[in-house]
Amino acid sequence: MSGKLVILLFLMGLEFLSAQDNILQTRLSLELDNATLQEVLKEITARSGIIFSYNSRLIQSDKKTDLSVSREPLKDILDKICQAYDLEYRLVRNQIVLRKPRTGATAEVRVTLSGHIRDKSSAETLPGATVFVKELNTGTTTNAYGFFSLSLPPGKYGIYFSFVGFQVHTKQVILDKSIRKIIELESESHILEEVTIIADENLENLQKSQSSRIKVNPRILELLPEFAGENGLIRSLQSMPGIQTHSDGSAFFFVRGGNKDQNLILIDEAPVYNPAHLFGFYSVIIPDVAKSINIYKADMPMDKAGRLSSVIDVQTRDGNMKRFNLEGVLNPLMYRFSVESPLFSEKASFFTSFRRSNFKWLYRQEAPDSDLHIQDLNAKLNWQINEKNRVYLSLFRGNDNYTTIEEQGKVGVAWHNFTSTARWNHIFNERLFSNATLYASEYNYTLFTGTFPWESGIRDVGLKYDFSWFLNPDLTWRFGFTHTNHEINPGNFSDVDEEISPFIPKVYTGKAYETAVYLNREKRVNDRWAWRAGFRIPVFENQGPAFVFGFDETRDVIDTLTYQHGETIKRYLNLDLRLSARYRLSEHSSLRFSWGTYNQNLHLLSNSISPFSSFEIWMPSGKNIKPQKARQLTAGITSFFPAANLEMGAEVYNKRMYNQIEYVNHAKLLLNPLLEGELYFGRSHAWGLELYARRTKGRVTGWAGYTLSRVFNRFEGINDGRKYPAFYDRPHDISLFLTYQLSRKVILSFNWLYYTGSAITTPTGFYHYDGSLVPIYTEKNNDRLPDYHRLDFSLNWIFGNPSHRYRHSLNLGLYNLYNRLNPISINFNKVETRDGNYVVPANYYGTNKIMSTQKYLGGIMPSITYKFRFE
Amino acid sequence: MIFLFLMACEKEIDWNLQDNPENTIVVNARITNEFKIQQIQLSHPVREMNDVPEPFSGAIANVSWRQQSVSFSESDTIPGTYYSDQPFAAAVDREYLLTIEKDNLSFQAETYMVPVLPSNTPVVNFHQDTGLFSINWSNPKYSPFEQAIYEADITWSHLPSHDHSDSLTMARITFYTLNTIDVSHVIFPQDKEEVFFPAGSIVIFSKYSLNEEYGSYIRALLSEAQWQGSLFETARGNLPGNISNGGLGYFSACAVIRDTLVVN
Repeated sequence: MSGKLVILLFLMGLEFLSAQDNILQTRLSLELDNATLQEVLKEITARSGIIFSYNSRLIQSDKKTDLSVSREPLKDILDKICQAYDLEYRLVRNQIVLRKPRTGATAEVRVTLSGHIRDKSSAETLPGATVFVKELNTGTTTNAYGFFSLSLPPGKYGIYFSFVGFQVHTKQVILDKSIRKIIELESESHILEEVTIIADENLENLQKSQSSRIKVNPRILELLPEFAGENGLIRSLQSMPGIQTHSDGSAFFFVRGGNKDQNLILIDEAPVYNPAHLFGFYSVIIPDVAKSINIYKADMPMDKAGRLSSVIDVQTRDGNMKRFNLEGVLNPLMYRFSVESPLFSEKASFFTSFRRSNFKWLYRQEAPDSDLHIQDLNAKLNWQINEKNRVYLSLFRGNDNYTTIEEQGKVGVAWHNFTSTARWNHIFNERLFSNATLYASEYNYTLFTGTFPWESGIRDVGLKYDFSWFLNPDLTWRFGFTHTNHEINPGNFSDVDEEISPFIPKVYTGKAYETAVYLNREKRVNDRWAWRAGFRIPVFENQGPAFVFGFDETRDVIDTLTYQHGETIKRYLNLDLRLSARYRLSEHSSLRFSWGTYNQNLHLLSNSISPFSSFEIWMPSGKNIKPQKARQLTAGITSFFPAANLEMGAEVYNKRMYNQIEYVNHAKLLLNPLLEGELYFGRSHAWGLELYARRTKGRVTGWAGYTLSRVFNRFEGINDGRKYPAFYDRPHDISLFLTYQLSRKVILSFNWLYYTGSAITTPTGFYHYDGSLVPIYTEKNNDRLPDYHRLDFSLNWIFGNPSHRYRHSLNLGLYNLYNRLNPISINFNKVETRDGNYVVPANYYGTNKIMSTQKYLGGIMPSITYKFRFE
Repeated sequence: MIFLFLMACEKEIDWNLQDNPENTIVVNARITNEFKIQQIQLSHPVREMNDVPEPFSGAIANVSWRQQSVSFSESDTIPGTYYSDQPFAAAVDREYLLTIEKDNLSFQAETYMVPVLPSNTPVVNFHQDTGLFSINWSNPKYSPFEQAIYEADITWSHLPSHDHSDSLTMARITFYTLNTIDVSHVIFPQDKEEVFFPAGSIVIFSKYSLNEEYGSYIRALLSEAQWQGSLFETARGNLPGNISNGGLGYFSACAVIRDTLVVN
C-alpha cells in the first residue's frame, strides 16, 4: 500500500511539473517595431496574461528592437528577447523572472550577507530562523548556532527575517559589498501573556528539502497537560505522528517501527543514553531548559548519525545576554529553579537550572530508611569572544536514586546521566562557518543487592568538527568528521570480596571507537526544485583486552578467542547515504522525497517488556553482533493555508531494517559472559502513512495527527521463522492537542490520544508443575492489549500584569480525565486475598482461584503547578 | 518504590484465550538422593487456568542409569501418580534417563544430580497481632556458588485446638537461590500470598540442589508464574523443559537435605 501512495504523490508532482511546462509552450503572435524591452514585455502580458518580474535597477535598457513572430512558443520568444537584451529568464510560480545572466565575468560578482539572528530580549541566537529575499524569491535558514550566510548579486533587497514566536522583521539592505549583521527579532508575546505562537516556519518547511522533521517549540510543550506536575519532552512525543511511546509512565518510544534503542537523543551535541527519570514517569529533558528541539524521523543530518530511526536534537538555552532572569516551578512532587544572567554585557552569559523531586512526604512514615529522589542540573556558559569566535560550555547531570537500607545492606537502584560539551564556533569568512565540539557522556546504572553492587554503563568521549560552506543561496556544502571513544560495561559486580571474586562471572568490558567523515551537498536547482545528497563513512572498531566466544547454530560455545590490549576484535566499514528532494507545487505547497541508509553500532540489550527503564545494557557491534542497518524511503506533501493559519501534511514511509535483535525465551542478559548466545538476529519491515494538521496562530491552536502503520519482524527461531507483529505494531494512532485562549490570562489545553493496543504474547493453555500454573504459548505476539485512549486537560491561569518584572501563573491539570484504565500488562498468575489485593499464590496446597488481571498506572491524576518568573 | 507501587494498580479482567489444540504430556518428576520409593506425576495440560488437569494414565515409565533400571507403576488411588517398584537413591555423577511410553507415544528425558550445600535453617517469625507464625527466608536469592530450591512443608492438622476456619491445615511454600541476576527476583518481587500457621505446627525444611539446566527451567518457571506482571517483567515464552517429543515439564534429580522443627 505504501508503494501505491508513493507513486500517487510522485504522479501528482509530475502533473504540476507538466502544468509549468505548458506555460512556456503557449503560442503567441507578435509584431513589434523599434520597441523597448518594457514595451515588448507589456505586449506579451497583454496577449497572454503572463506576468514578468524583474529588478528595474538591474535590468535597464533603452535599446530598441524589432520582434516579429507568428504562433511561436513563448519559450522561443523569450530566447530571442534574452539574446537581444543579454538576459536570462526563469519560470517562478507562473511568473517569468528576468535577470542578468550568471555567466561572464561581471555576472560572477557576488557579495555576502551573513550574520546571526538573535532574540532581542535576551540576545540568544535563534537556530532555524528564516532569512528570505523577496526580490529573488530565495532564502536560507540559520544553523544550530543562529548563523546565516547568503551570497547574492549586488543590489538593493527587501529581506525578511522570521522565527517561530517572533515578529517578522523586514529590512531594506543595499548590498554592494559583503556585510555582516546581527538581526534581533522581537518576541510576539511572552508565554505568560498570550498564546500567539507563529512565524512563518511554514515558509521554512516549504523551502527546505528536509523530510520527516518535526520542529518542536519548547514553549508549546509547556502548554501540554502535565503528568504528575511535569511536562517533559519524551511524554509529549506520543502526540506526534509516527512516534509511539511504550505506555503510561514510560520513557521508551518507537519511531516508525524502529526499536527503542534506535533513537539518538542529543543534548548540546552529547548523547544521552537514558532519558528517563523515575523509570520513565519523568524525562530528563524539560521544556524550559531547551532553546530548540528538532526531531528527525528519517533523513537524519549527517553530523548526527549512528541510529536507525530517529534523532532528538536538543539545544539548551544560552543564557540571557542582556538581563538577569529567575524562574521557578513548584508542585507537590517537584521543584525547579533556573537562573540566567549576562556576565559581560552582550559578550558572555550563563544559564543554570536545577530540579529535584519532593517525594519524601509520600513515604516518610512508611519507609523512613528509604531514599527516593531524582535530580537534574543543567548549566551553560557562552562567550562571544569576537565577531568570528564564540565558545559554549554545557553541562548536564541527572540522578535517580531509589534505595533503602535493609538487614543485608543497601537495596535498590540508582542511575545517572552526565554530559559535558565544549563548542567553538569559528567563522572563517562570510561563507564558511565551523563548529568544533568536544564532548563527554556517561550513563551508569547500579543495582544494590544488599551485598555488592551490580553496575552497567557506557562512557563516551568524542570530538566533532563540522563545516558549513554557503557557496551561494542555491548551494551549500556541509562536511566534517567525528571520532568517538566508547567504554562499555555490559554489567558486572563491583567491590566484590577477593575470596568471592573468582566465582563471580565477568562480562567483557568493551572499548570501541567510531570515526566517520561526511559530506553533504544542498542544491536549490530553481524555485521549485531543490535536492540534497550526501554520504557518511563510519568506521567502527572494538578492541581488546577481551574474551570473545564463538557459538554454533545451537548456541553452544565452540570457540573462545583472547584479544590483548589494543588488539582489534572486529572492524566494520559502513556507508550511509542520503538523498532527498523537494518540489514546490505552489507558494504554499511542496512535495518531498527522501531515501537513506543508516547504520547503528551500539545496541541496547533488554528482554524487558516492562514500560519502565531498568537494567538495559549497551553492547557494541562485534564478532557476534553485526551493525544494525536500515533503508528508509519517504514521500510527503506539505500545504499551508494562510487564511486559516493551517498547515497540513501527509507522509508515507517504507523502512526495512536488518540485523535486528531478539532474544531466546527467558534470556539471561545480566551477568552472563555468554549473553551474545542469547540473541536472535533477524529483520523488520515497517511502513506507514502519517497525516497531520497544525494551526499555530489564533485563539485556537494545536495539532491533530493520524498514523496508519505496521511493523513486522521475522527471525529464524521465533514463530518458526514466520513474520509476526512487533510489540509496537499499532496500526491506528490518533492524537489531538488543542489550546484555547479563553482570555489574555486563561489558556485551556486538551490532549487526546488513541492507539491500537500493542501486540503481546498470551497463553493458549496451561499446565501444572510442582504447584505452579505454567502458561503454554503457541506464538509470540499472538494477541493484543486493549486499545489505548486518554484525555488530558489543563488550565493555565496567569496572574497580575504580564509586563511586570515579576510574573506568575498557576497550572491545574487533570491527566486521564475520563479515568480510562489503560493496561500496561495482562497477567495470568494472581489470586485475590481476603482484603481484595491480587498476589502471587505461595501455598502449594492453596485453593484460591487463579485469575487473569491487568496492571495499569492509576486513573485520573490531578496536578497543580505554580510558575513564576522574575527579571 | 512506594511511589510506584501507589500508582501501579491491578484489577481482574476477563480474557479470552486463543485455542491450543495441543494435548501432550506434562511430566513432574524429581528423584532425590534419599533411598526411598520415588514418584513421578504425569498429567495433561489444561485449557483454562482453573481446570483440573487430567491424569496421564496407563503409561509405562521407568528410570534407568548405567546398567540399572527401575520401573514405575501408576497408583491405584491417585491416577497419574507413578511410584517406583523398588526404593532407590539417585547419586551425583550419574546420568538418569526417564522413559515414558503409552500406545504409540514415547517420551524421554535425561538429567543428572549435583551436590547440595548445607545452609542455615530459616527463622520462624511470631506475629503478636494474630498469634500466628510465618517463615522468614534468609537464604540469598542470588549466589554464584549454587542454585537451590528451599521448601517448607508445614502441617497443623494434628492440632485439634486450632480453628481451621479456612479449611487449610497444611502448606508448602518455596524459596529459590539462583545464579542469575533477575530484577523481579532479587530487588522488586511481586507481593506474594502470605502463609501463617499456629504454634505447634510441624515444619519440614528441605533444600534441593539444582543443576544448571534445571536451574534455568526453575528460573523460567518463576518468570512465568511469579514475576509475570511485575514492574520489570521480561518477555514471555515457553519453559526450556527436557522432555522429548513435545512433552512438557521436567525430569530432575536433586540432592536434598532436610530439617524438621516444631514451632513454639
